[in-house]
Amino acid sequence: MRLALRIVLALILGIAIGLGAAWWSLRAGIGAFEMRSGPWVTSQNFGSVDATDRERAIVAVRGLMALTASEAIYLNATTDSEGRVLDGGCRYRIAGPPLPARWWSVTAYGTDSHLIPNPGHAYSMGGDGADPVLAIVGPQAGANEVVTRSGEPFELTVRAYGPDAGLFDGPLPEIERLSC
Amino acid sequence: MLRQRIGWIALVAGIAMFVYWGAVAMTPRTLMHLVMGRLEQNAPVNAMGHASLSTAERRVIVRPSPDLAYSTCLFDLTDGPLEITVEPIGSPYWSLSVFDANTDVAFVRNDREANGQPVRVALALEGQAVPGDIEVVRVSSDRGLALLRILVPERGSFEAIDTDRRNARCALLS
Repeated sequence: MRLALRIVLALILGIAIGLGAAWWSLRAGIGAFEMRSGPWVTSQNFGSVDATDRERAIVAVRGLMALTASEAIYLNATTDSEGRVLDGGCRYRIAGPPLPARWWSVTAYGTDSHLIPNPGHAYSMGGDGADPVLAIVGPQAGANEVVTRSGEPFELTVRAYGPDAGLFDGPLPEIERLSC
Repeated sequence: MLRQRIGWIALVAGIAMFVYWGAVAMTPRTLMHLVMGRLEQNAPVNAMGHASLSTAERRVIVRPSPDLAYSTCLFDLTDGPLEITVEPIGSPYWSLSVFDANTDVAFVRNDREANGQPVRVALALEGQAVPGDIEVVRVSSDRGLALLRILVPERGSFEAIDTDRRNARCALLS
């Protein structure tokens, strides 16, 4: 009887610890990806059979059905270029030279990986690959500005479709905090 | 006594590790299954469904791009291969990709690679026979998702793009 109880307790504890560890591991989110440049983080293994189980699981949780690196590059940031957490109450400029890709876009997401509600549906800015990257992001709705929510951190995703192989090694946009 | 205690701790650790790896490995498949369940409300299996532009209020998938129109074909190859055809669409960029149940990409082709021609493929499991005159994509799972993504440069251009994309077809190969 005591042995049976000990085994049941071991099962309960083992399952709880295992599930807790999985949740904590997947919570690492985009921070777990291997390629970093300034505030930007990405992976070469999105959608790939070469991805580890953990990478595949994190992508499934944070960005299900991401394309492979030859079709699209996804750059994700949770901080500005100075390393400060992106704050929905502050105003930012995301700017840089044209990216070697067919088309780019800058989109703001909440930390739940969903678009941030706003009446004007101002979720993103984008442009042709020949255009320099430029997006203004902040809590005030303005012409050609992406809207965030005061009091909440947010994340940025830059998408580059049809990228050249060396895109991540070249100059990437700066995330500059303009005001809070 | 000490040996018993160490043995019990090792048992807990072993169970925890097994559960951890199992949970991590099953997460993509589980989430894919949940999303496919939600998409089944828009269109039946083995048929094309067309979503309106993403908004913050629509929460079908995480991290959708607000600049893309999405069309989906939830596929089930149990009864045989499936044919997908995408006619050229008036947009600066579009692509068709096929994901298996584990979220791995089985196929992707964009507008530039299609060179102005329709994209026409047959999705099939290993061992399923497919007529010889169509490009075959072998998928490792019975179920999965074909996703058509189309760039909408500004919301005003959505109506024309929506008309074009409704020429895309997804059906069991007859």
